Parts: sequence; C-alpha cells; structure tokens
Amino acid sequence: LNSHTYQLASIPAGNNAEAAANFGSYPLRRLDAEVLIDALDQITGTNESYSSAIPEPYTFVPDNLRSIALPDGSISSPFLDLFGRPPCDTGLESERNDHITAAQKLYLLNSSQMQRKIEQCRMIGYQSSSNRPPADIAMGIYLGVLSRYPTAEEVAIVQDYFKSGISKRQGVVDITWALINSTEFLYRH
Amino acid sequence: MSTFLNFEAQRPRISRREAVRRALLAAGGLVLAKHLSFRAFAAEPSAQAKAVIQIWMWGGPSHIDVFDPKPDAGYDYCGPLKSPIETNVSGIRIGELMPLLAKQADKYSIIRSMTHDNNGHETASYIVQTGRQPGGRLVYPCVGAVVSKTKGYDAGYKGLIPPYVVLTEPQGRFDEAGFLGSRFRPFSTGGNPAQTPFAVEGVVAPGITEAHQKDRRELMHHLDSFAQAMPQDPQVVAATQAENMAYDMILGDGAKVFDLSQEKPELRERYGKSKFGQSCLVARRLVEHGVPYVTINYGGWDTHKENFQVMRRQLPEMDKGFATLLQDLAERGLLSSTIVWWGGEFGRTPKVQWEAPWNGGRGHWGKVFSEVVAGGGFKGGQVIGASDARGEEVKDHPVYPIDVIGSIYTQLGISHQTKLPNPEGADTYVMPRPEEGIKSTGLLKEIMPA
Repeated sequence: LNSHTYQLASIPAGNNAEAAANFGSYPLRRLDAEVLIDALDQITGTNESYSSAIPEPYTFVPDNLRSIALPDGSISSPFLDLFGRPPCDTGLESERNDHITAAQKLYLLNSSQMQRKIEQCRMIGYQSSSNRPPADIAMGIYLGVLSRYPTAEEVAIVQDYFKSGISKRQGVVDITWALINSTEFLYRH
Repeated sequence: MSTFLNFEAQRPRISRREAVRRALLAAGGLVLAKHLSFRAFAAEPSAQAKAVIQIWMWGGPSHIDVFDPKPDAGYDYCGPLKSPIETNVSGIRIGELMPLLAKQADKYSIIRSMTHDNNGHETASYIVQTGRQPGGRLVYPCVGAVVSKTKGYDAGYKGLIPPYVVLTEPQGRFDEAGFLGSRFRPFSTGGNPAQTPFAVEGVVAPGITEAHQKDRRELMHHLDSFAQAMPQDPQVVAATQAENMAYDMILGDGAKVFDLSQEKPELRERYGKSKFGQSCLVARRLVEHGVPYVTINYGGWDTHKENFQVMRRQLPEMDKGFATLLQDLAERGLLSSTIVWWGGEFGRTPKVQWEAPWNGGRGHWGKVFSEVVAGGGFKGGQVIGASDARGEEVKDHPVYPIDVIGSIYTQLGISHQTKLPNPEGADTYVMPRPEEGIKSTGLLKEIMPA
C-alpha cells in the first residue's frame, strides 16, 4: 500500500481536532475476522479448518488458502463466526460486525485453540534457544508479531519479565501472547 | 474440531432509517396485536419452565434394565436383573440397580412407549432430538439450539456463559444447530468436572495458575502501547471493557460457576465423584445462574456386549447423579422451573443375545424405549404408555419424539408457531406442520398443567 494515509501512525501527535478531521493519524479499527485469522495463522504457522452448511460440493480448502480468499460465503469457521464475518446473505456492508466482544477476548486470551497455536509457533522454539539474550528475543517477537522494532522501554519491560524467574520458553510464549492480545495488534497490523 | 464460545450476538448496527422503520412497524403491530390478542392469549403456552437439563444417554440405554422392567418375561429377557424395586409411588417399579431414583419417583414421570422405529445411532439421535425425519432438504436444529435461539442472546439473555452448554464434549456425529448455524451450537466445556481444576474451555486454562494469569495480564498491559497512549479512544475503551468482562470469566464470577470447590464436600459426595455425577452438579449451578439449556452428554450405553456387567458398573453412578440432581433441584426450589429430560436415541433389544461375541449383550431397539421427564411444571409420579409383556412393541399410547419436544417447548413458553430462520427463505416453525407428515400423538397432556 503506497497510500500516505495508510502509512500514518495511529497514535496522534497531539490533541488537534483539525488533524483528526483531516486524517492526520490512522483511525483505530479492529482487524476484520478474515484478516485477523490470516495474521494469526501466518505468525504461528498454523491453519484454520473450515466447513460449509451446504453439504455438496464438498468443502475443500487447501492449507495455504487464506481466509480472505474463501470462495463462498457459506464456508466458515467458528473463528470467523465469532469475529463477525458477514454471512453474505445480502450485499450490505452492515452485515459485517467488527465490534469487539468479551467472547472474542476470551478466545484470544485463554482458549485452548489460541494456546495451541502459540505453542506450535516455530518462532517460539528459535527465540527461546539457550544463548539468546532478552533484547534479541524482544526484537524477534516484535518483528514477528507487530512488524516493528521494540522501543527501548519495551525492551526493558521484556528484560524485566525474564528476570522474574520464569522459564525462557514460558517467557517467550507469554510475550508472544501479550503482543497478540495488545490493541496494537488487534486494531492495526 | 471443537467449537468455541459462539456466544454474544453479532448484530449489525441499526441505522437511523431502519430504527424509524421498525418503530413504525411496531406501532402498526400494536394495532394488529389488539385484534389478535384474544386468540393469541388462548394459544399462548404457559412459561413455567425457565431451563432444561438434558441427560443424553448416548448409545441408547436398555429400557428393560432401567425404567421399564419386565420380570415376568424370563431369563432370556431380563438376565440376572429380574427383581425390579418398588418406588415411593405405589404401582411404579424400576430397575433394581437404581435404589436412589426409586426414592424420587414422585418427582419424575416415565414414558414407556417412546417409539420411532429407527435403529441407527445417527438417524435416531437426530429424530429424538429434533423431532424431524432425516433426509429432507434441511438439517433441523435440536431442542438445545432452538432454546438458544429463542431464549439466548437474540432474546435478551445477557449472561457471559453461553445459553446452551454441553458437559463436557459435543455429541459428535450430530450437528446440534442444523440450519441455524454455528452461533447456536452448544458451548462444550471440555475438561472433567470430577478433576480439580475443572478445565473449562476458555475459562480455566490447564497449566496456567491464577498467579501466572495475573502476571501475564500485567505484562500485556505494560506492552499495550495503544491503550497507554490513547486510553480515551472509543475503540480502546471498548477493547478494555471486553477484556475486563473476559477476565470476569477467567479470574472472577464466571470461573466460580464452574468451581465445584464452592460446594459442600458432602453434597459433592452425594452426587458421586464420577464425571457424570459432578456434571449433574455443574448443570445445577449453571441453571441457577440463568443458563437456559444444559446437556450432559453421558456416553457408554451402547451395550452390545456384556450388557449386564455394564449395567452393574454404570447404573449406580447414574442413579446417584440423577437422583441427587432431582433432590437438590427440589430442595432449592429450582425443580418447578427446571425440566430434567432423560433419554437416549433408542432402547435395546429386549431378547438378550447370549451367544458369542455378544456374551449377554443387547442390540439397538427403536421400536419401543423409555424416556423420563421431571420438573418445569411436568407432573411427577406418572407413567405414560406401556410396552408389551416383553418390552418389544408399544402396547399402549405410542409417544413420538416430537410429542416430548413439543411438550418441553410448551412448558418453556415457546409457541409452536415460532418461526425459525430458514436458509431457503421458506416458512419453518419449531413444530412441524401437518403437511410435513411427522407422526405424532400430541402433547403429553397427562403430565402437563391443564
């Protein structure tokens, strides 16, 4: 995306009404259901399984097919339903629901599906290898999840977290989990 | 694939124009309602029941060994279980392995003439729980999904625990929600309530202690750049709200509903420390919390081989859980508003198959079988219908699955005219229309309030 507007930061530089009216910053919006699951799958290297209420033709979705490219509105998954993907009954945009709900948060924070995705994530093994210093781990996870470098302050928080006596692997899992659950990830990625 | 928390309605926002349109329609509806009110009132079912606990006897329990004993049919039919016991209702006898349920017989009614004549697990499960016949254009939703649709988030239910819960695993080989879609599938808890902690999906993460949950939540807050930089942003406010509600489930009240250590050890003991017994206790706690439909998916009744050994092993466990559930609900004043519905997809071959490889087993039997209903306004201490002398055929007053389902809907105040959103746009109702040709002998009038 080469649009200047799309590349703006979300955090506004000041409390300027005129700037807000003229898109001086990127307004927050929750990732669409399909975009979110594609992002999660890409980060963790996992796949979602889909099914269709319509029995035939049999639903076959190859592993590498992204959710945004699903050919048919009837093909869905519990994740897509939970996160408000439109059922495509009509062509109206209002069918889509990007409102955050407690159920969505519960899924992201504490479900076995998310836990499994994060545990399976190949990045976890690499980042928790024995001789990797916390600053490098922070950088790796930030690039992996948020596609940016951590600030000095964030590196310090990560370093502190490892000092609390937690195992390296668990620390890496927790930091990945925390970033996936941050508003920065869910609202703009 | 397990389903997860399809709760909270995903409603599109209503535009102003739509709001005006609806208000106009409602105003018109009021005028119409006046005309219809007399008739509607007469047909309106009484909403005495608020919740259903369904004990789903997956596999098909042997009717002869449980609620329809036939001691005079001889050894080839009853095997060693030939001495049924008296209950606290004179004239009603049940299987000898259920002494506790015998003391609660005044609370439940037994239907001994259930029939659908189908011997396949999948089709019979579908018929018993949807009331419809399979093979049509539509896959119908089961009772739990219909209750979820009519009493759940679309009907103003606000609970964080989903309105349709299955303890502990989904039924499988059966799509509970049918054409209603995945939003109306049950939330299956996973885990085992007889273990500590009861690892409820999304609520209690196994291997993560409460302290660890708190630590990593704090870490997440420290790293949450957007929430720190612009806490006033409406999107951030909404996210924080949703997060707080989620943690009410994980660390607060929601988790407490599933936390059986809040119950007295003696009561837990009375329910039996089995998965089924403790599931009954969880079901009571959920109903107490306002959850309208709970299914206890209780497998292990497909007794093709060594039926009597299985009965001796499992019936005492069922007896303890089921009887204590009825007693506990009654003691808390919940039984009058809670329907307990017990049954499986069919009964079992009355004539015992003594030969190898069955060694005293029983096959599938859809010609006649038993179900039990209690509470929620249903009268107790009654027997509806009868099977013949050997428990092979319906002798008296056949009852079809749709009759039980319709009676449950009536007690819940769900009108038979309630429309379901048909994916093909046709009119579909919770109860079949005459032209669908579904066999029925009508509601269970004998045990329903006049």
